[in-house]
Amino acid sequence: MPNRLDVADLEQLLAERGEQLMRAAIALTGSRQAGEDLLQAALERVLATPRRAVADTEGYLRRTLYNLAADGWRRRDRWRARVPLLESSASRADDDVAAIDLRDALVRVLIQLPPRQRAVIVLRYWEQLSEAETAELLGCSAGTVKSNASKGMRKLRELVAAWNLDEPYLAKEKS
Amino acid sequence: MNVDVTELLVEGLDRLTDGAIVPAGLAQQAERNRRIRRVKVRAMTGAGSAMAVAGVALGVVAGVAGPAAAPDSGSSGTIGAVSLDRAQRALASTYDHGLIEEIQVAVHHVSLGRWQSASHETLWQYGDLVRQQGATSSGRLVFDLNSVARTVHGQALISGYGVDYPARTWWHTARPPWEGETSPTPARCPGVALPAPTGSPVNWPARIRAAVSCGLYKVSRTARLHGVKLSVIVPADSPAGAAEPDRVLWVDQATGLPARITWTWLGGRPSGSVTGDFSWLRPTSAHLAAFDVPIPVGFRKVGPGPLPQFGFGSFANLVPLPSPSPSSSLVPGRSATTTPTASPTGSPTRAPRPVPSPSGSPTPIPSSSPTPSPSGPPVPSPSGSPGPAPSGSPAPSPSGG
Repeated sequence: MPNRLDVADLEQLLAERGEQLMRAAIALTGSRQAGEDLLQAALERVLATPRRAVADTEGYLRRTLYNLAADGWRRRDRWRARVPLLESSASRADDDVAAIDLRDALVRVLIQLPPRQRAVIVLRYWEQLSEAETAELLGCSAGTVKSNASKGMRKLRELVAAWNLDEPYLAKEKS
Repeated sequence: MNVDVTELLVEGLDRLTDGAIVPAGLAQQAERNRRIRRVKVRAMTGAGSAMAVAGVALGVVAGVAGPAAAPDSGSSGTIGAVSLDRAQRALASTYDHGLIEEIQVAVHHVSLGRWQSASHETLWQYGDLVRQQGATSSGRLVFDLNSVARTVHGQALISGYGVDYPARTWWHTARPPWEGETSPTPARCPGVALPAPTGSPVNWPARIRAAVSCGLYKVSRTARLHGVKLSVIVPADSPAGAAEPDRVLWVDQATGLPARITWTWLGGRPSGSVTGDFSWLRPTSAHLAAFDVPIPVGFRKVGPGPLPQFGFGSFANLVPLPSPSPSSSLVPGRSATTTPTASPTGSPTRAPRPVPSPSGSPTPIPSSSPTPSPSGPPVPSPSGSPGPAPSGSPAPSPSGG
């Protein structure tokens, strides 16, 4: 038995569960290209891990994926570089809000959050994990999860407010 | 609003990720990237340790020469350029603390094969990359060779350039690698010839340890020179006959790297001997570029000729002279510390430098003068001691052309 997971094991896993993992990677990065890069980076980590340390390959890959995203993965300043763009967009308060797809705007805002806040929000609200489950997956305390989720959502609300959106519009979008 | 924002966010993420598919071969690509990263990490680790080792020494020692300085474009028409590829460089950086080996070889009544007028040679090696120069006792260049291992269409080749100064010719050669070990390797120590053939990457400390642990060599005593502890390594068995030289290797105990190696043919009169003094250099880009051989203007290109093979990497090619020879082409060898040899550019090759020591103190090359040893008799002068007449049985010289 080889000491490490081999490529065939992971190809099999990706064939069966790859779509869900890929969706998570895209949600964490904001684009398909970056999602592929993140998933590939997670695969590299798993391939370098001794087999005996990987009882549940999918769970381990998933954990690696989220932790890479939460740790900034690439350059930590990448998200910061995008903030000015967002601020300049947000300053256009007189734009026709109806022309803006609010859902896409929220996703763009999400991508600009700090990596850990982003990972927590994706896990809590998109994956619908509990605070305890999120904390376990990210290897932090439930309090940290709660704090990050709170900060992240506050920023999302602030940025949404900057678009001068009102409740009726949101209600209309929902319907 | 709170609920609305989260639901809208989830909807947005669903839209973003809808229809996601994993590209084919993603795991295979990840495996390739992992392997490349491992090589890079090894290279960086090797380079880091080399810098740490060399940096300590170079902080104390001023001036590092390396292989003969970059060719002077004014005096050379062509450059016989050889270089390591990325993988070879990564491999080379893992050997011998990642340092370039330089050996100043002086011969005494021993022929350097094809070029009998050469009494002194300098050899540099870094992984597969080799440069070798031979010069007369007066410092006049006789030959200049380099080589590197290559894989062409799946076939391993050794390729390189050579310049024969007396004949005013040069060549380019590509040939299959030299398979055989040149030094005798008893059955109990397969593949542990000491030293190894020139051009094959050798991890000296590991090689010496292996040769001692399998009983091919033994530590005869320790010596101290300029404050540096050396182990004196000799073959476990006596030379089989007059044609077999008496071999001694001085090894820096701190680094495990050789400081001096001598072979002496005691059966003849006068004795033939070869002495190599080692220096260890940082693999800077300037040093690596200096492995190129300059081809002087006006030299004629000829068919394939010899590449670096002989020297301390393959002593079988050294030929003890058959009789007492007053030949003017072979004068008694002098230590490299006192005999400057011209480089292709005309500048003298510098004297050996101290051996870098990871312990922080520079480790000087042993001089050729006898030195008292607290643990035993004085360190002999391997290259200068007269002895009985040579045996007269020349060894084969595959590289002698």
